[in-house]
Amino acid sequence: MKRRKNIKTVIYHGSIWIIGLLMIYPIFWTIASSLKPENEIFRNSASLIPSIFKWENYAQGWQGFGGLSFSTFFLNSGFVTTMVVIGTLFSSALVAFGFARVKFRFRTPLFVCMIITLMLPSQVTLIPQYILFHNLGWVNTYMPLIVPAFIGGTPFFIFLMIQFIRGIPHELDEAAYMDGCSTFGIFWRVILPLTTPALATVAIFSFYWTWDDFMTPLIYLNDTKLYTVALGLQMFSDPSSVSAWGPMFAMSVASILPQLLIFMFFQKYLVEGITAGGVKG
Amino acid sequence: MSKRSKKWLLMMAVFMLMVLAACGSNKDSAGESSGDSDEVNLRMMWWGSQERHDRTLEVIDLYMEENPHVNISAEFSGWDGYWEKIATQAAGGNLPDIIQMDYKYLAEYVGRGLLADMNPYVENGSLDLSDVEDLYIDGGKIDGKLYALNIGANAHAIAVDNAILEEAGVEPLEPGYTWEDLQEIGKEISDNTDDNVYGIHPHAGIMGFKHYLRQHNQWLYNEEGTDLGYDDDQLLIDYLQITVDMLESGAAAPPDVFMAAGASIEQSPIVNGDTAILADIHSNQIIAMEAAAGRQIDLMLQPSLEGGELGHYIKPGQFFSIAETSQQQEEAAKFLDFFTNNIEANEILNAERGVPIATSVREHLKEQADESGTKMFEYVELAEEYSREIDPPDAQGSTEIETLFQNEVADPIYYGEISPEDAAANFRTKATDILSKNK
Amino acid sequence: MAEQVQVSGQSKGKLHKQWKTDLVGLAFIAPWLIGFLCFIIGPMIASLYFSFTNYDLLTEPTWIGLGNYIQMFTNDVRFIQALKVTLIFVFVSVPLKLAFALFVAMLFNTKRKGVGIYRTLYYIPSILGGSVAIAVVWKQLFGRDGAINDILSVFGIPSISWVTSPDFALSTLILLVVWQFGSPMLIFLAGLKAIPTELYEAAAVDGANPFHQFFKITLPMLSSVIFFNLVMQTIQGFMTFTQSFLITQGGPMDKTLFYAVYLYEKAFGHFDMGYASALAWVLLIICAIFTAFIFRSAGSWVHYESEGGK
Repeated sequence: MKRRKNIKTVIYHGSIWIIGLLMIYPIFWTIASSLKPENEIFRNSASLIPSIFKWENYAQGWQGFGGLSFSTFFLNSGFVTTMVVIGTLFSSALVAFGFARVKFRFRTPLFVCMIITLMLPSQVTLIPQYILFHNLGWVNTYMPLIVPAFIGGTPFFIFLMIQFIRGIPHELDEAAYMDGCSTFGIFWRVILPLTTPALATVAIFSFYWTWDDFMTPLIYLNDTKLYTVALGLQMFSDPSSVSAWGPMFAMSVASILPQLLIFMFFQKYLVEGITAGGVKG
Repeated sequence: MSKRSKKWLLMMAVFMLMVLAACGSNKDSAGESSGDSDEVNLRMMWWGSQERHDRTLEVIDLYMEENPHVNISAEFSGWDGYWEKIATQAAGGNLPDIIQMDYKYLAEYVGRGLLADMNPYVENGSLDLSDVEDLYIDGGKIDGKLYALNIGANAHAIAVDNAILEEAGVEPLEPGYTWEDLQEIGKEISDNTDDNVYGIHPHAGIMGFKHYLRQHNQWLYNEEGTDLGYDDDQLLIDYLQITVDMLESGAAAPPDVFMAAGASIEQSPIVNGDTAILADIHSNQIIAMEAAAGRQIDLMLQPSLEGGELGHYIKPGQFFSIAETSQQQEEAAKFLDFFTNNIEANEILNAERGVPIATSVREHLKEQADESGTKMFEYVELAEEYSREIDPPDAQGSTEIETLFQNEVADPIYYGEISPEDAAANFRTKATDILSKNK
Repeated sequence: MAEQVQVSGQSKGKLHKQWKTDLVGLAFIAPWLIGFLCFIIGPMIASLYFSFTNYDLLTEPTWIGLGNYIQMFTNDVRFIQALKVTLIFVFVSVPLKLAFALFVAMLFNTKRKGVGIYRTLYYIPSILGGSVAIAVVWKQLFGRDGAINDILSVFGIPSISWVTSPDFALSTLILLVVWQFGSPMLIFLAGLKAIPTELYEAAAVDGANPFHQFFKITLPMLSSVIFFNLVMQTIQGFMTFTQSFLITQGGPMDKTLFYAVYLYEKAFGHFDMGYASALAWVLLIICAIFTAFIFRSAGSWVHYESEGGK
């Protein structure tokens, strides 16, 4: 019996590692390229071992552009992303509770409106939106990046939270109500703790999407001192003449690190959901 | 209602008011800049990579040191997204004063009245072009008006890996070689080298076709830009047939080998030594190509047409334009003057954008250029000898024509899915349709 | 179903009570509602207006009525091609991606040692997302000299360039998207965590085998999350842009011309924002039909703990 269990464990871990290698091959490739001299990145590019380790790629990449280093970009990204994550957690939890638990009139049509906004490609609303933000004086500030998060600009998260809240048994609300809890009290003390796994998911996604997005900052930020990491990465590449590939890969690797850290930090709340969600079905 | 939910409602109300207030307020803070009488604020925007950013910023600093009353704010990015940003800013009436412009988009922006004519500033001496030959400026003119200033000259070329030619026992190409020579040489290289090394990475694109038309003394667009400029479809058929023949004879690599590179010069098979010749590139791309390959690659003229005209011309690699909406056009022109003529500035720039247009600057920089750079300088000089005047910039709608050519002419030809005859006829029908909108 | 949240304990008439519920509801959704009214609806209406105009981005739009829509349905083969590519993409990639994500999520829904690391490992492809690096990597991986061909050559399969072959380009992109299954996987994981373990324990006591457990417990308990993933992946599938744009630019010969790529090309490449807006609204309608269909079907298979507590 014990032996069979051992074999099972070996198969489990073994197969996960083999598929896992496929999953992270691109990371290895990126790391390898970030250490290669320029003339090896595209020649014999399948090789994962650089002939010499060119650490200067990292130094050169971090140096940035004309005295504006990646320290600035990382700080900027850190600020913007933190604000967006906070805003998204705040707005998506609140709005989702409203849709999922409060039976107000027009809630279905409003919900439909929200889902519909997801279906219009952003390319065609970009220009009117720019003009709007320009008239508000928000161009070249972080407002167009941050404010939408606070006002539920990503219905994806709201919908996600709605689905999770709908999965929580009603008896809990009712019991809390009997104990004299207000609606907000129910939200704050009963529902919110139970949605920890969902909130962790929202945090991970909103972090990654914001960190990775270069289009919005590119359109709305003019002053290079305000630029984010994703924009910094894009500034290495110019297919019409020369691109700085080595430094670009180096900074790509650097840019992945915070995302990994955030993921590892929040994923433990995914697990903690077990105990918190340990309510009867 | 319980006390708590009242408190909550109140909080929400305050929050709402705050957002609404933010929505409605500070309309005025938008158009800061301009302002004080003596201070000049210029916004300048370009795309590029690390080297260009560093060098350009240094030149801007130099200019601001010499002209303390001028403040230039640099807004730079990579290539991706640059054109959306420009288009969005144009739509929002918020274009920077100085814009780096590409040949491909010039007509589209000029046609919509977004760029300023620089001729008045040339005439009043703010922008001194006396040291620049017309050949280098004409590419930025439309109907005689100077909408864009060339900041780095280019020429069409083919890239040749002479080491492979030598290995195959083929004589190096000499200026004046013909299309037929190219086909033969390609075949010889393919035959005399390893199975997975080919002679030519072919190019049946619109850039090559334009070159071919010039050799027949024709142009892709008519003068008004309302129709195609060539009447005989046989020209396009013959042009495509060259590629078809090369693919059939084995002179050219099969599409599997070269299609994946797309527009990326570093991923071209010539970098990996899979082909000896890459047809149809721009001369400034040699620098990226040699850097990625880590070995010698040379530039050569496009094949000539027996008894035909000269096809080459000096092509503006990129421009600086001044926005029509700019309040400081003259100051912008002065900066462009500095950018073009100042030796110290150009030493910093180091011809990174292509060969400088001012003669004295060019002579000076040529001496200090590195190996790749020298190739580029020498090649543009060579191309100049084989050049005649540039045709007018592309018509409005040319970006759409380019997509059409890529999708329905070049790609199917590579894959042998269409005959040159059908491709030519189809191209004429659809291109005529697109261009007729300009009438 | 009974009133879920009673705002007032006293009976002051049903109407009054409803009014209060409305107020509370609106207060909760206020953040979104304000954003919607301030920043979303205006630009949406603007784009609807543009779709009836000839608008080149840089000059004032001119009204042409249904011109763009007529052009699209009568005289635009690329529109048809884009629609075809996108539909194939959605129908193939969404089920594949969801199945894979669910499978992996279940593998990782244990307390075994090292799952944390595995989860991270399998999430990495999704972090790489739409960066410039991934385009280069993918081209390298599936290029003629790439790693995939190296592996296949062991089995005697000849090398081809997968990314740019007219026959395989779309499949390669589908593979890329399926490979980035991290986000539905996480959502499944969060959903799995919410299933009380007692259910499985009880089932095990009753002698149910793992298959039984999967169909009788996991799937029904997870249905609301499956529903979410299905809706969102379908909508996002229709909007897919980055992969095609960065790697194939819609080529070769429009074989990977995703709808959003075509739309982008029209808007910013060809300066035809009017036409692009019309394309966008047609996409919205198509997308809405599919989504409405999923929502309608939901009644029969989606089970909510809170509402179906039977």
